[in-house]
Formats: sequence, C-alpha cells, structure tokens
Amino acid sequence: MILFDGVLALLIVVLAWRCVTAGDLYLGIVVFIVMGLMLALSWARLDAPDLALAEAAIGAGLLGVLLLSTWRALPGHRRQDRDHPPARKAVRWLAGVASVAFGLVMAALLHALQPDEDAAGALALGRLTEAGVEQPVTAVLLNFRSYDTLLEMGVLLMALIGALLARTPLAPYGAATDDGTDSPLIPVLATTFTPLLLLVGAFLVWAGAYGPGGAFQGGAVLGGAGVVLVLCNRLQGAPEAGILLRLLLVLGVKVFILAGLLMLPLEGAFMAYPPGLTYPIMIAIEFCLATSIAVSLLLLFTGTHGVRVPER
Amino acid sequence: MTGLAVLAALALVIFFGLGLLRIHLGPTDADRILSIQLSGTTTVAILLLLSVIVDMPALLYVALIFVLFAAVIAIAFVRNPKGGA
Repeated sequence: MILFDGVLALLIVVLAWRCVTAGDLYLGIVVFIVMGLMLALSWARLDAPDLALAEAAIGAGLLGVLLLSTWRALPGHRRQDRDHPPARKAVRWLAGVASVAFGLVMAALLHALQPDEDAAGALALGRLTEAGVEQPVTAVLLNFRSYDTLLEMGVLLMALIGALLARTPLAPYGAATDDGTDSPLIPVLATTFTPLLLLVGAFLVWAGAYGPGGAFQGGAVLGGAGVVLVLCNRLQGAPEAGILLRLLLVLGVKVFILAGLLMLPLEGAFMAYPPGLTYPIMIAIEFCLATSIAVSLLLLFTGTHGVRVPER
Repeated sequence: MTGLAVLAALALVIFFGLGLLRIHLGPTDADRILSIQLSGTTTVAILLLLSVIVDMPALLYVALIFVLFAAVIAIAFVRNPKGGA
C-alpha cells in the first residue's frame, strides 16, 4: 500500500506541475480535471470519504465542466493565452521557491501539532448520540456548528449575487449548440443522465444522515443535472429570475433560520432542537439547503439571473 | 484476497500514469478528452478496489459520482453553451 500511496503522491505533484506550467489553456484544463481524480483518490486514502465526495462532485466534476464550457465559449477556442505573456524567469523561480518553502513550513508545523484531550473534535464525538444523526460530519455541520453552516449558505448567496453582477453570462439567452456535429447522442444523454444525476444527488443528501454525503455534495450533483439540461438545450439562460427560482435560491437560508427561530420558545436557545425532533428537522433542513445549493451552482454556471424552458 | 486487490490497485495507478502520456502527447483535443475518460474509468476501478481494501463502502458513492460526471464532461466538450458557434 505504501508503494500505491507513493505513486499517487508522485502523480499528484507531476499533474499539479503540468497544470500550472501548461502554455495551452485547454491542456491546463484537462490536467486540472485529471488532477481532481487523483485528489479524490488521495482523500479516500486519508480516510476522508466526505472530502473525496466533495472533490469528485465539485472539484473534478462541476468545476471541470465549467472550465471546459468556458473554453468552448472563447472566440475560436484560443490555443494560447496571448494576452498574458509568461512571467520572467526570476519571478517564476522566486514564486516556486517561496511556494516550496511555505509548504515545508506548513508541513512541519502541522506535523508538530498534537490534539488536546478535550479538543472540540473529541467533545463532539463524545456527544454524538444527542445530535440526532449518526454521521459525525453531518452532526457537526447541521447541529453543533449550525451557525457556521447558515453563514456559509449566506456566503454562497452573496457569491452568486457578486458573480452575476460582475461577469458576462456563459450561457446567454440563446440556445446551446454543437459546432456542426449535431450528434443524436445528445438527446439520449440528456434524458438518461438527468434523472440519474437527480436520483444520485437526492440519495447523497439523504445518505448524509447515516454516512458520508450531505447537502453540499448532493446539491452539487443536483446542480450537475441542471448543467446537463442547459448544455443539451432543455433549459436556457433568462435575463430575469422568476419568483419560484428566487424562492428556491433562498429556501435553504430561510428554512434554516425559521427552524432555529421556531424552536426558540421551546428550547430557549437559537437553533437548539427538541431531542425527539432533531432527526426530521435536520433532514428537512438538509434537503432545503441542497436545493438552494443546486440552484445557486446552476446559476453560477450559466452566469444568468434566471433559467427558463426554451420555446419550441 | 486483499493482497491481490492491493496489487491490482497498484497496477491500475501505474496504468493511470501511463495514460497521462496521451494527455501529454495529444495531439488533438479529442485525444485528450478521451484520455480524461480513460483516467476516469481507471479511477473508478481503483475506488472500487480501495472500498474493498480499506472496507469503506462510501467510496462506492465517489465512484458513482465519477461515472455520472464523466458523461457530463463529455457533453461539455462537444456543446457550445453560447450558441451560434
């Protein structure tokens, strides 16, 4: 197994090196996606299946698709990024040496770190039975540390608003096409893979209560279903968001806050859930969060304020 | 049994490295997208083996996600989101 880990680590370093030094935009994107595969494997080897799931769905999957689509949308798929000439050799060496030094210092510091007996992680694991779900990561995200997750949802919403204000849409209000090769596979892929992605996404959200999975991973897969629909022309960007879409966008934050406030008179603290009801409340919150995450990611992909079904 | 699985995983990760040559050499964009698909399939195989080796069934979910997103990446390669080409 040591040999396996060694080859894995070597491949990741080589891929990272190629990803940064590739002169060709497309080559850089391809190497980035492949590096995502290797990173997911390394998280699996580090006993962190939750992170492997997140890396697979967001890092390699959705982000790879976004980068590829951006490259497709560039005028004439520019081979080289000529607007930005490579930095001077001295600068590159300086950046390389500084990065390696930073990595070594961080590795030394983290290696020297010894966890305390009564650290937060040990406390949370010890009181897992009170959390309502069996999975430690979900328990921390949605119960012990729910404030933080609520604010993260706010951050995602702000990121979406900022991105929509700042960038030009990737999928403007026209239909997606493929250059000349009008493949008959596209409708088949759309009708086969969208339901599969929706099913697996919903399953991952639900699985978060028992094992690895959860709102973020599941939401990313659900968002992937929306991306397939956009690319296969079953959905397209719209300049305005309908009221339903806006409601879905804020659903997660709204339900999270409401659940916290409604229990306030019962439990005497914001976001404290009554013992018997913890599980249903957390599952409901989790599905609402996943829906909002999926819609946010889809709009981040299209770069438009809304999406609509194209007229036929 | 586990020893055999470890050997197979090791062989697969080495093949993965050899598959990277196709990404490096190219020469066309389609070659490179196909080598992503190859790497994805290899990764799925490694994950399936790892889930047996370290007894972590959750790795099957990761494999499932990779299978699904491999198709999405192939679609993203052939479709122009902007339209009009």
